[in-house]
Amino acid sequence: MTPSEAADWIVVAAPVLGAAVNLVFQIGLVRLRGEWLLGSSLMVAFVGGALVTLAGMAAVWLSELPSLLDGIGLTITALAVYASAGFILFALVNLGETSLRVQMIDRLLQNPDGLRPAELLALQSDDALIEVRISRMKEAGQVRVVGERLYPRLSTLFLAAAGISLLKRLLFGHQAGRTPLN
Amino acid sequence: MNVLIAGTGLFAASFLTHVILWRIRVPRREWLTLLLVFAALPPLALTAALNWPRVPVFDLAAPRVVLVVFLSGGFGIVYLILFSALQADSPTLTMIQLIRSHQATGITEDELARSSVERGYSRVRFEQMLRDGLAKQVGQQICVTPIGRRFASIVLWNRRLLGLHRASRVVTSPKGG
Repeated sequence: MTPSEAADWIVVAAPVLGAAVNLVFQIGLVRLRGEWLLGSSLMVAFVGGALVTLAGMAAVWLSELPSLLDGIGLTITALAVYASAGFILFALVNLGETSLRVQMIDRLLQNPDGLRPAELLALQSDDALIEVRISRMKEAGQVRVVGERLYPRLSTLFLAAAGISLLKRLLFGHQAGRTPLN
Repeated sequence: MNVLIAGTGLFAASFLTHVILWRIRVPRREWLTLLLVFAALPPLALTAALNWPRVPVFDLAAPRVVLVVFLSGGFGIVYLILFSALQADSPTLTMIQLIRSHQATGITEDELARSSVERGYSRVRFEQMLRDGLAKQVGQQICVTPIGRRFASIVLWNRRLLGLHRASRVVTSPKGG
């Protein structure tokens, strides 16, 4: 194996190792600190994994110096692969916290003989669901509260909502207006 | 830089195919079509490009091909997750949209709750769950299907790994905590 090939394999290994560190940190921190600090634990774990990925890339730059353009391209690629893996790990946790479908299936798994539609729907109160989400948005500072009124605030969530809305227009065109996220 | 161009290029080709197909007509089996576009198209295109000597950007050594697969595959999975939020009409994102549409005057919690309740999130999700084959009606009862079990098992297994409580703990009373 040439030094150049070895350096390329380090680039492959860096985000994989970073994602593994992210997962191990997630497990350790969430178990240690409990679910009340879930968000910050996930963030710390993500940063830990990113540092490992960057360390791997630093080793490539120091051992087998690629051309500047190639080095930049490989570094962006390694970070993008790591960020994608980080997002997937985050989405797995987030689905368990917020996905109604996962919650309904979990209920059904606890009742192997099945549930009547009314029983299943009664377990999921829309009022409670909405109240929980409003509280979360206020606590996370994702909305601005003035008196009794809520105003939008620039946040990752608002950008995500704008992005999803744009994507909906792109995919469905005029039909996007028929859905709530228009 | 070739790896970055090839990886994002493959993802962009899948995304473009997806947009064109959906603009022509939204497929009846959306998820199957999406999986074909994002999981089958990039490997096929990559195999073809690697065997096509006149495409210099794809003249790559083995570890760089792995990186291209990681990059386009990672972007593809992230996109599928985002698409599920779009398709499922996420309650949080819908509420954010409602607040955004009242950005001049603001909206009270009661108004927001009323507008949101009208959408009937639980019923919509329940119907989606049956339509997507995650659960089925057997007589009077709703039972989970093997697909539904597999879909939820990854998430539930991850929760057990993290030492978190079960997913199904949504309160049934607004003041229930």
